[in-house]
Amino acid sequence: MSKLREHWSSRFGFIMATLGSAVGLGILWKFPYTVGENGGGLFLLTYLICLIVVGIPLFMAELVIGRSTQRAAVGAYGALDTKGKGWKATGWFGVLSSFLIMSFYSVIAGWGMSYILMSLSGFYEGLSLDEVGVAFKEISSSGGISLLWHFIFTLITMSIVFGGVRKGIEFWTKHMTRILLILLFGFFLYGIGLSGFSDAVSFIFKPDASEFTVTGALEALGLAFWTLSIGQGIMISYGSYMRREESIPSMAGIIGGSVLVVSILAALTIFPIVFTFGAKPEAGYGLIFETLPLLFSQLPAPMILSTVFFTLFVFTALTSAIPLIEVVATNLMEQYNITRKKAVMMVGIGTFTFGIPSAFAKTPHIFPEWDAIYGMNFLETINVLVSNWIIPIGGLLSAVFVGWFMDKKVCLEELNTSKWLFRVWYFFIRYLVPLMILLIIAEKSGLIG
Amino acid sequence: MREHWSSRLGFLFAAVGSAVGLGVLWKFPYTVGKNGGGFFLLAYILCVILIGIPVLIGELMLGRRAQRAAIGAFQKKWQIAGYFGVVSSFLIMSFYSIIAGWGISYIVMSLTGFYQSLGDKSIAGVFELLSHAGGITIFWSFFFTAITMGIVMVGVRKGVEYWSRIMTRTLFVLLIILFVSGLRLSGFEQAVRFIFVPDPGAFTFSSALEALGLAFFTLSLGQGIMISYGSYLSKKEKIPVMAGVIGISVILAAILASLTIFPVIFTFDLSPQAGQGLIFKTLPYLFAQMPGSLVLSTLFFTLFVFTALTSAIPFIEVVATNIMELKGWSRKKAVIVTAMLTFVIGIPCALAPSGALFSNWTALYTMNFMETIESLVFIWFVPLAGLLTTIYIGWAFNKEEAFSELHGSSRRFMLAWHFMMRYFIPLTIILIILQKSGVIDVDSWF
Repeated sequence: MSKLREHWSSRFGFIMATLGSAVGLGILWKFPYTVGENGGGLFLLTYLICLIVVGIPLFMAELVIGRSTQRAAVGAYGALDTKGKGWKATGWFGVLSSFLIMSFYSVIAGWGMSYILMSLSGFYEGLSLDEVGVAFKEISSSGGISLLWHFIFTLITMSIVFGGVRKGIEFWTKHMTRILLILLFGFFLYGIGLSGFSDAVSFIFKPDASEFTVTGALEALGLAFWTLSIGQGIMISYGSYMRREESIPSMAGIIGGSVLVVSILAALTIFPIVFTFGAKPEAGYGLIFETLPLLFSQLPAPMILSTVFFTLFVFTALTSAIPLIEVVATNLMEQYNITRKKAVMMVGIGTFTFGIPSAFAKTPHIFPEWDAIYGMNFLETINVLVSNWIIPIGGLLSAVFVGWFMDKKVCLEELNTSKWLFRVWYFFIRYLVPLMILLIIAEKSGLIG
Repeated sequence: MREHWSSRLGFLFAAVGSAVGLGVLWKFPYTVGKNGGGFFLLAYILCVILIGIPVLIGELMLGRRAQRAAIGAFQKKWQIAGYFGVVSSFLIMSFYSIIAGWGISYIVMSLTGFYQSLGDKSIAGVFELLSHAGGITIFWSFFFTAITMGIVMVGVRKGVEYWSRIMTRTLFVLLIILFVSGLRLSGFEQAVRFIFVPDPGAFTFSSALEALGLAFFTLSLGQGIMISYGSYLSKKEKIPVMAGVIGISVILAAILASLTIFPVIFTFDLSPQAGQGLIFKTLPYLFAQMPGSLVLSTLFFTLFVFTALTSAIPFIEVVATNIMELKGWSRKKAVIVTAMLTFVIGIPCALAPSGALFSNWTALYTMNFMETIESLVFIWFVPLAGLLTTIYIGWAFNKEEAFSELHGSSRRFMLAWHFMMRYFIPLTIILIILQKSGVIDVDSWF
């Protein structure tokens, strides 16, 4: 590879990009509704365990794979698989995940964009609480409008990725993530004063064993993967842009800690709203759209607040979507030797097209028989497929590869840290991570009780 | 410079993967039982050895000698043989991707854990829903075609060989896992008896011909595939040995597949019925009754899809490389055009069960669009391709040239092989064609 690889201009840039990827996708959108669907307290604990036992070790492993090879996922596994045993396929798992996620995520981000426009057009004027809540149903069941926003969002993401690592990704995410975090904290502070705050706290933190079912474990695992942006080839790519001097373990610690704090912050922002206004925690992937407008409608200057919030939501959706397209594109660029422009175009068209049924998922216009065959709509199906299966299995393969087939020396070099820490990490990757993932899969498939 | 397989194993995995297709996985199991168990199995094995392997040797030899894909491997006047094969591959791919697409759908259905919660009638009903949902069927078929296309586009080594290796290996591992999990089932013994114990009453001469036809198809013969794969084979490999290994692998896979599927059926006291119904209606229902149904079901349909993929890859490969050679196109262009065309032809197939397109078809042709293409290919094109190939090799092709390609075997073996190619095999293929097209009925002779 003769072309000089781009690198992050600073450690802060890398942290912001990674956090930005995690915040929009995992923390603001997926984390709250998944916690809501699975009954709070005990689920949060499971999530925490998954984060520490599986998430952080794998996060470090992906950075190692990326930085040591200076390649994107597929090429990285290919380079490390010195005996040519076919581990490259593991890289493709991540690429597939990113592709599939982008296809429906841009539909969801598109709804966010719609809310910006709705806010600006005076949506909140004179509406009752019920009507505000119902608005989401209207937009999600309008296939044509969903498709339009889906298209626009995909286009914007593509154009940023065209710009490359520094000018595109790092530049935009640095600013957007910073502003979102400030805003989030502001909303959180406001939320403390809401009547539903104490309910929210007990919902989130109090373990209620009756609510937590065994299926929750797989969702918790999937959530841990999402909030750390692992299993999607993203951290491998981001690792490949890292400089040799950076310490991977401290990066993992910083990001892991930040993710945890921001996740809980987001939950403590959204759930007080849910409980104050009597919305349902189990609402599903539309939770953020159904709850936040309720809050805004009760505040002074709802239009400004709502516009600002959803603009930031879209910004962070972008910081999550950018790596998704980036990952698929760079892997194509490296494997098939095509230009960035061409690769990004192909990926953008691909994810847009594949996302069309997702845009129409709540309408009867495309694949009307889908729900009867799969038990859930198209968007949910792809979501479940990727979150519960493709990503965890990819993670399993990753861990097995790093722990058993990869040259240990590479890990030692990249994780230039204390012997004790390395041994712990290596033990986790070798045994605990695969075991945990297998156990959870076995539980989900009914093999063990 | 023509690409070549990077190793002997690479070729074997690709060839075995191609051969072990849906024909081995489901057509063989239900045909065994219907036609007299042990006798049929014996007949099948004999046919593979006496007919299948010689023809396989012939196709590999042709390809390697000519270093060309199917059409170009034949001399001018005989190229029609190549055309029959290539067109067969093209047509098969168009409906194969539909069935494989259903397989992918069943993987997703297994993973969402939904169909397992339905009652038996509803499970069968889900397949009705799926096969009649034209849009969804086309969606999955497109996905499958796109994956196949992506793999073939990369080339022989990094694409075909690399992925065939992974998938054929995984295929056999999955088959063994499923087989082992079936050992404990109560229906296992009955399955063994069903497959191995000879039942003279059910075995007729048409059964013998059925075994013959099956031996032919399950070795990917008459489709231009083994000619293409042979053209990538290095000169130092011994073709008869390769053919033997492939033949035996196919037999093993066929037996394993039967011993995997039938224990499940017999445990629940059902009678094995033919066709897609078995795979998509009966088996899912049975999986749902077993512990760990999600895993079993997912593994089985993953096996199904991998089997289909390793067979679909050569379909597109064959058509594309022939186009490349005839028209001088790049691999990328040829593969994309081929994939798109098979997909387009597949659309009426996808819509066939629901009758959404060409609704008068069945009235005119006595079977729906997809079935029509299937019969055209399996009754006429493939046997004709095979017939012309064997006659070409037995009569028109220079004997000593052929023998020099089959280095490493004794002269006696080569002469015996040549005799088969000249007389015995063409005769039997003619018999198959006449029987399958209904011109004759061998059972009535006896």
